[in-house]
Amino acid sequence: MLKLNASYSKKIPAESEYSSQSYHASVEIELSDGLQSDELKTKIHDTFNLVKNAVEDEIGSRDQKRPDQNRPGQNKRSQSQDNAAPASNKQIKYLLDLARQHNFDINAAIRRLRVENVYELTRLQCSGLIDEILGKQKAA
Amino acid sequence: MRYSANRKRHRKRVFMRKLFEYKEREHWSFSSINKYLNICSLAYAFQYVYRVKPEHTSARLIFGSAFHAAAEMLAEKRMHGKPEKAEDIKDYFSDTWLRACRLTENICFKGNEDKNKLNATGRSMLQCLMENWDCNERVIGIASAFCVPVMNSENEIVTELPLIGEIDCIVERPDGKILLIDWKTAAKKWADGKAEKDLQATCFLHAYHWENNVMAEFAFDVITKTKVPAYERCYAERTIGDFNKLARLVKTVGDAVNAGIFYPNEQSCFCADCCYADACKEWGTESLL
Repeated sequence: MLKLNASYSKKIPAESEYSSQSYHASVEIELSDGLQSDELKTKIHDTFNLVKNAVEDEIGSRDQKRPDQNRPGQNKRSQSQDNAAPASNKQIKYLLDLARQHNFDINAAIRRLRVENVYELTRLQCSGLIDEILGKQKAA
Repeated sequence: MRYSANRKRHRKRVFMRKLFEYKEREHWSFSSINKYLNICSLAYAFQYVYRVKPEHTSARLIFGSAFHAAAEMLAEKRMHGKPEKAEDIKDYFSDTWLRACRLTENICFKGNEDKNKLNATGRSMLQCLMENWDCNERVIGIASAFCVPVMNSENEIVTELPLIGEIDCIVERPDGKILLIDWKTAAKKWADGKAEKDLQATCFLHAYHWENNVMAEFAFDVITKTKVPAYERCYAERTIGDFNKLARLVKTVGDAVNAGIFYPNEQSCFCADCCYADACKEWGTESLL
């Protein structure tokens, strides 16, 4: 007896900034031993589509429950793509200026993020560090 | 121990970071600053502001690139302790150079130069480099790209645009000091004092200092394109004061560029070989009104 395990997961931005929500589905089915390779491929394809569609439907139904919100499938995704884009020169200058003013060890911070150079930070990472410095300032 | 850590860090950098990735953001480079300040501000504008297509490609440029590619191959063999087969390195140069000649449109050769003569010259220049470059220097970085903010001595960032570049080779000398090397192919030996004033050394040492908090040394390894090539190492030392001056220079050039101050430098020795000669002539006929 063959076993087929298909899973699909997707992470989308949540309502609060810098947070995300994960959706995951997985299914395990048993297949007969006598399947030809083409039949097996079709089974894998169909099963994977099944879990993928289930996850997408679940995300879609969550969005329908919030009609007052913008269509998140598009807007939220572009926001998440923006966050993954490299930080702009302006943003990095602001971060470095803040770090200097508050004696914040920027090198240690970027090492923590496993980034070698401040110019390799994403927008999201850069914003996070800016918030961190401003947060420490407020706490002080 | 300290040196092996350095080497590890640099090796990682060699393979992880590439200049083209940094070029994607708006930036300053030694070439752009030097073009504005020392070559011709109008040529700078044609290249970086108006994005005019160059009228030709100087053979000197692609020759230099092919030489660098072969020198990098040599450095890589030294870095990994592999045997240096002179013929392999020279053949690599020839392949790179002749392929570039085939693929590049409108190559402009100087005087009686041609691709075959320059091929022979390049091969003997590489032989010269191999014979003269001290084997006791341990290679710890090759084509090491950097992207750093331009700061003054008060650590204030003077421009939003970072300074990017690529250090040809980084070595650890027998005395443990770090030396940044830039290979130069030159028509003749450098004049006394040229390296001392060169802005490239300042840019690269500033970058290395910012990234590593180490004041390294810098040298131009100049190999002449003469019939019998000569090798000369020209050292350049810089201080924090020089970095401060660099920051002010970059800020000033940035202000001038933003104000649109571009004019021809017709006394420049680069004028004869300029790839924007026609655009420059046209600029002279345009009305200011």
